[in-house]
Amino acid sequence: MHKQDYKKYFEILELKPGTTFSEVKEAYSHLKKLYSSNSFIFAPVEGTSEKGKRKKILEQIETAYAILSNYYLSEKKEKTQTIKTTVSDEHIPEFDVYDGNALKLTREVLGINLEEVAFFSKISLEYLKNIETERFDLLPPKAYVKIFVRKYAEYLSLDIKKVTDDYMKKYENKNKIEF
Amino acid sequence: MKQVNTKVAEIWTIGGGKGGTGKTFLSSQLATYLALKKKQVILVDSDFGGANLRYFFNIKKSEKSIKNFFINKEPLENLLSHTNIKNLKIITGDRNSISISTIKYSQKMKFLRHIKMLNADYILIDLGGGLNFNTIDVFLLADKMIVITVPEITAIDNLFQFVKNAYFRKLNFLLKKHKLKDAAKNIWKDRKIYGIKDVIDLTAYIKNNLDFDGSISNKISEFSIFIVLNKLRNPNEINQGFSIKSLCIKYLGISSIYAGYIGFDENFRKNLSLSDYLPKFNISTRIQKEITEIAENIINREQIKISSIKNA
Repeated sequence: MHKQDYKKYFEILELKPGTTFSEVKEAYSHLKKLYSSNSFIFAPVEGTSEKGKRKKILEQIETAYAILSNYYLSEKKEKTQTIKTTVSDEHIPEFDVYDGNALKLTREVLGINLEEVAFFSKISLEYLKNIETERFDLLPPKAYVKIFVRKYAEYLSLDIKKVTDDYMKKYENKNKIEF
Repeated sequence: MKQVNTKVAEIWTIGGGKGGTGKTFLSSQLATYLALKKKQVILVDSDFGGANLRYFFNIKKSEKSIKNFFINKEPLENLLSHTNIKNLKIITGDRNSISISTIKYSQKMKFLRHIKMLNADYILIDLGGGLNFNTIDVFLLADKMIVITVPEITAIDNLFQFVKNAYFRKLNFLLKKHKLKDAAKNIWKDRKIYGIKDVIDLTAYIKNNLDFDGSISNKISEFSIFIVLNKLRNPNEINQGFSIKSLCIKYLGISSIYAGYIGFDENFRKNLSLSDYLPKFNISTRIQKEITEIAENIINREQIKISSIKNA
């Protein structure tokens, strides 16, 4: 999404674009509380025909918050990426063989959550979880798995070829046993 | 020879519907703040019915008041009273001789025109209470419209009424100017057919279907109010400003900014008591800080910072 596309979500939370994430969180929690409440303040403005209005407002608030959270996460990611290049050699553990667990550990060391990976790699959270836990039976066909692992490794700034080779080897072995 | 105007003043109007919410207090404090920032400020007490601004600046009753403009046809510049604050002059209101109902339309229009012609950096207008259209027309004159209320349902109810009336009057005025008033009226009559539920829908419909060159939309989106909460006794009440603002936006479709709040001050109440002939105002440093935040937020069109509330 382009930066200006977020404008309307800021508007729903009644903020100017470019506000800090903590202001977004505060505004969200205040609005959520207000529109879930039965405050007397609604009496002067609410007509009888507007029963569904609060529900609709609440839905909009939720959507806006979810999308803006991702927006701030992506900004954070840009920052961590620059840090990553300097830190990587010292702190990121190297694995002889990259399997689901190795990916998970690397990700955790980097302080990245799976939602973030999902948002930027456009891989569903469910698939990412299955990649990490090696639930091959719940993953789509092989060609997709390879692409997903590749994208995931890329996001973690790992050696893409090594990671995909290792991971796909394990994938094929396990499938051989099962079939 | 007529005085040539060198500056175009920014006009702030302070209203809000209910009496006793602190309109006069806020106007006087904002005017003082701006004057101390070395701006030329004129404060006009347009409370035609119950003017009392002069109490805040020790101005005796004998000085000229707004009455001289309406009755003796004196120009507004002649009615300026000096105050003990440099750069701040005021035009005092009147309490008896003119009532809202006796002001003719032409007189009012002349008043609105002449206010704009006053020579200053800022002109602040303290409105009276009530929802009548004369008050609202003065309110709409502003570059920055400020409403003040207290955290009580009756006051907040009046505030919504006031803001809604002002918005309708503005919309009406614009539609009339563009000869769309009847069209809008008919649409509202058949609103069920058009799928219009409220003013927000109606405005959107006008924007999309009638307003070909966008001139109405532009003017309507300029309509924006600043909300100030007064006499808070409890820090929890600060958040009510955000609630009021939210309802103005989401239910009335009016762009709103919560500019700040003023905590209740026991000493201030004592100051307004009857023990002294002319009260002396010792504004506490806390109120000064709150006024500073409100004024700066209005100048910069900024909302109160949530972080500053947490430190309050």
